[in-house]
Amino acid sequence: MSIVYIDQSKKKYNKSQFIRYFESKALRTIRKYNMFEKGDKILIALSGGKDSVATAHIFNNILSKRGEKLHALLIDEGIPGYRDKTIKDAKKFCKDENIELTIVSTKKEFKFGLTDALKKLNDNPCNICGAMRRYLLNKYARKLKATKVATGHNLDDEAQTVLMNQYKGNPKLSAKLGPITGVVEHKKFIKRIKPLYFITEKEVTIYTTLKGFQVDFSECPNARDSFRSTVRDQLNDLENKFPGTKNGIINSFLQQLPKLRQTKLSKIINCKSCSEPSTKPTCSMCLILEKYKSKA
Amino acid sequence: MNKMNKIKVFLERDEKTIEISLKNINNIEDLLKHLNINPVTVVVTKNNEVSTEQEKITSKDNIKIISVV
Repeated sequence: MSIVYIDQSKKKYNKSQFIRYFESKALRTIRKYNMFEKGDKILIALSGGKDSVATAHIFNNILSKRGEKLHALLIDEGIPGYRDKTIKDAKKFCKDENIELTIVSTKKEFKFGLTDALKKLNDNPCNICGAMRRYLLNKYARKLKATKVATGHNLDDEAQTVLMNQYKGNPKLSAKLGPITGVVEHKKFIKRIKPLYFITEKEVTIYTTLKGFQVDFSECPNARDSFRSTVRDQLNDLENKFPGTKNGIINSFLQQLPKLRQTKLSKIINCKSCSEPSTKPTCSMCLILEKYKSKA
Repeated sequence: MNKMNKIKVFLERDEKTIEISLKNINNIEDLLKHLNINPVTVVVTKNNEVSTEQEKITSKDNIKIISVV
């Protein structure tokens, strides 16, 4: 059987060995960080891309063995030519895997999509999109009675965010990161878990390709020239020249995380406009809504 | 250039196929270097099978380059 992957220690994997390696790595992360405890109801934050599809498949394997059904939530931000493709993939994937899929549209929820917002607001698309998605994910996770939301964030995503916070001169922001986020307890805030935390973007791509999942490998058109994409390119150059760089960033970050969380744990309060959990008197989504309405 | 010394490469992200001369290209690692592609950022399939950089390639092979980004 042909070799599909060679790891950092030069160990070679064929197809079945790699699939076992990948799934074991995700399951070890779930166990190590108590991501799935007795009584938990997991909701998958599904985009239809490779990372969230891999996450959903891992959890579906666990739940289907127990005879339980997995639920997934997809936020449609209204990105023409991109999101419609991933929604199609997500619907097919959920049908094939017998996963219950709920789709929430920002157009229905806020009366505008990301493209509309970008026409009116002079803001970074990733900031607006992120606020919309986090807001709706948390709100609908509660509606669907989930106790935890599983996202497809991988090792690359996390290493990029750690570096971005450093570059912005705001490393304290990283206190919100880690394999489990939402460490500050609040009855309206649903914890988020990242089963792919120690798995690289390349490993996820190999896995979804080997499993034959129909996923669109294109990138969000709004993200191409973002700060994140610049940091990602820099990190990939470093990884190519010095293998293990990304792992090194995450391992050293995890050593610092307990200290970071001691110094920076913003209290979560209820937004004065919508009552959703927020670290500020008015949540990010309500600030965007106010700005959008003022430009009407 | 003799047609036999060329290989077809499908770039998934650009949704286009390019033809590359196999001169000085023996394996996937050589191909990625020729195309100036960082191997960390792609997964390459040879005849629909995921392959490593050490995989030898010939003009008979169908190569697909998938961006992991």
